[in-house]
Amino acid sequence: MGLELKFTKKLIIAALLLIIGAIFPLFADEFLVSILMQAYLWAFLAMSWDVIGGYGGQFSLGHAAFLALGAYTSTILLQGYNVSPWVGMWAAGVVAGAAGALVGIASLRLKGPFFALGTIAFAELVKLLLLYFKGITGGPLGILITKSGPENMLFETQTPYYYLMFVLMLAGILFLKWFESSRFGIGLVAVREDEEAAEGVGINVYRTKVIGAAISAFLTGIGGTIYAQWIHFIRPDILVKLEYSTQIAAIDVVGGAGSPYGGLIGALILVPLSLYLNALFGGMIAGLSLILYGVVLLIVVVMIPGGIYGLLRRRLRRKLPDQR
Amino acid sequence: MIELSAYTQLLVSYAILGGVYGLTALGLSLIWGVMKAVNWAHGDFLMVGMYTAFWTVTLFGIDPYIAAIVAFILLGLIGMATHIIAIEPVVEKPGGHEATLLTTLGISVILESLALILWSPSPRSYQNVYKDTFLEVLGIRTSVAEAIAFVVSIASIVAVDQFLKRVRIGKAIRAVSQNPVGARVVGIDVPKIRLMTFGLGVGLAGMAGVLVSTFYPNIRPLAGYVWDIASYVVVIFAGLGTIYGVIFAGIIIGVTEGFGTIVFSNAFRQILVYVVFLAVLLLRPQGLFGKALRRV
Repeated sequence: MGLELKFTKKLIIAALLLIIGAIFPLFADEFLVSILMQAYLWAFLAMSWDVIGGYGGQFSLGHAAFLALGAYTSTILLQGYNVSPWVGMWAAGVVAGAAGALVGIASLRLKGPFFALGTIAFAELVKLLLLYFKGITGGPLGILITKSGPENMLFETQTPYYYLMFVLMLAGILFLKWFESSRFGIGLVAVREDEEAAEGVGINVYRTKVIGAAISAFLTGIGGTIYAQWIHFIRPDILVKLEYSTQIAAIDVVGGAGSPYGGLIGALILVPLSLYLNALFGGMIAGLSLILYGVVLLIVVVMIPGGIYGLLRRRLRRKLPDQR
Repeated sequence: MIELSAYTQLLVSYAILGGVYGLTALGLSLIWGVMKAVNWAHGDFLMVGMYTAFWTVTLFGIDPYIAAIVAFILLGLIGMATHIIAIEPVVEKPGGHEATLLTTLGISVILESLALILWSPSPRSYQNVYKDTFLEVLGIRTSVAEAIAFVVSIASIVAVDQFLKRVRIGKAIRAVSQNPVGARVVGIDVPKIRLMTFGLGVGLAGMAGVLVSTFYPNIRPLAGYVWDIASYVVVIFAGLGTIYGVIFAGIIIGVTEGFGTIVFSNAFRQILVYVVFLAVLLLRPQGLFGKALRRV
């Protein structure tokens, strides 16, 4: 009885949030729409990171590389071969996913900080290679997207992008919800908690880590396509930034790593705050929006381990001690 | 013949750079060894050291090498404050490694943004005679600033080694690094040692920042990044728990960069460094001079 009530309640809350999200552009101005849209995109990237960073417990600081690989793949296909990004994004995911599998193989040997270092070096390497192979990537000048039209995932106003990213974010949550109760997802968590024990109950640690990293990178690559379609040009130095890798991880950790909602919660708090600060002070004070990431990250990690979602869940559980 | 001497010249200046890499890596290595945590803000402390040199030299007209002492003390204090805020509260909790990674990442972002806000992104430099005076030994020219930076780096590394071997606190630092539980059992105040180590490590980074600023006049808020990567590479190369390994690893990395520049283009040099770095990381994570690490 109690459980059913909780389920209906959850359903109502979810439906309400969905409706609010869906009709939001109808009564908000372009600036607000654009802020929320970016929050969705970062939420999706944070959720993608969560697969390997949260559920897998492998702290990657190189996800900007997958973002860039995805963005470059679909953009090269679009500009060079006239392949629509609606198709190209899957290719982007595959290319990024293959790179992710390489990182996954590396994670078998590199633990903790060594893995984080390795991913930083990997991202730097990707950036340098993108700069080096000028013939394909345009080198430091990057590639400008000159096509147009919805069939090429290019829109005149912000509203269609809003819905695109809204759907992307929802897909991310649904995926993680399915993923965390899937056989593979449970195996990945088991590997995070204790590799030897996981091996003992018959989980193939090697395969689990490699596929986990590949899935995470695949999703990030798709995010990269969407990002490129939105900003209309790509360049190694604006895509492969340690700041981006950091931001993706920070959003997820602040929101609550290893949960389907952590990415969204973190992005809804951090992205609007930083964009708002940016808009408020403009180019005058360049560092102000970033400082926020530092301060919030510091406070959350020291004061509320488990992130904001973890805090909310603990609060709710305390209120309902009979439903554990 | 002219070409050959130009190459030697280049290699020597990269070897000198490598010696300074050694000093920048030393603080990182100490903290890593004692806390089993990477200080991601290391390069940013180095950057603060550079600005310390800039301000003390331009405002008070102090010699940059006295500024190095100022930076050591100032950054040591900042380091201890950072430790109290960001490291000590999380270091012993479960998942402490990830937590310190995140908190120092937070500190890094805060320091960079503060520097951007306070001092603007444009690069600065200060007047100093050492940079513009040159020495010539065996036909190889180097600026006095570079030569001093190299000598001071090596001397500091030797001094730290002696400190760790002979002074009581230094011995305690080594004890905590090797076996924190055992150290506690024999009555060492482990949290205090961690605080001292973090202060020392950050102080060394600050000093390295001043030395770098004497010959590399490019003081800007994101300057730490280059040195960050170099320090990580050197620490990984040297392996943990070796003090002198850091010097050799630094020089090897410096010379590798030099060769990369000669044999390939300048753009390819960096690619080479990262490829070598990843290869070492994957094939020999305990480093070239390190003992085998216990699996974390």
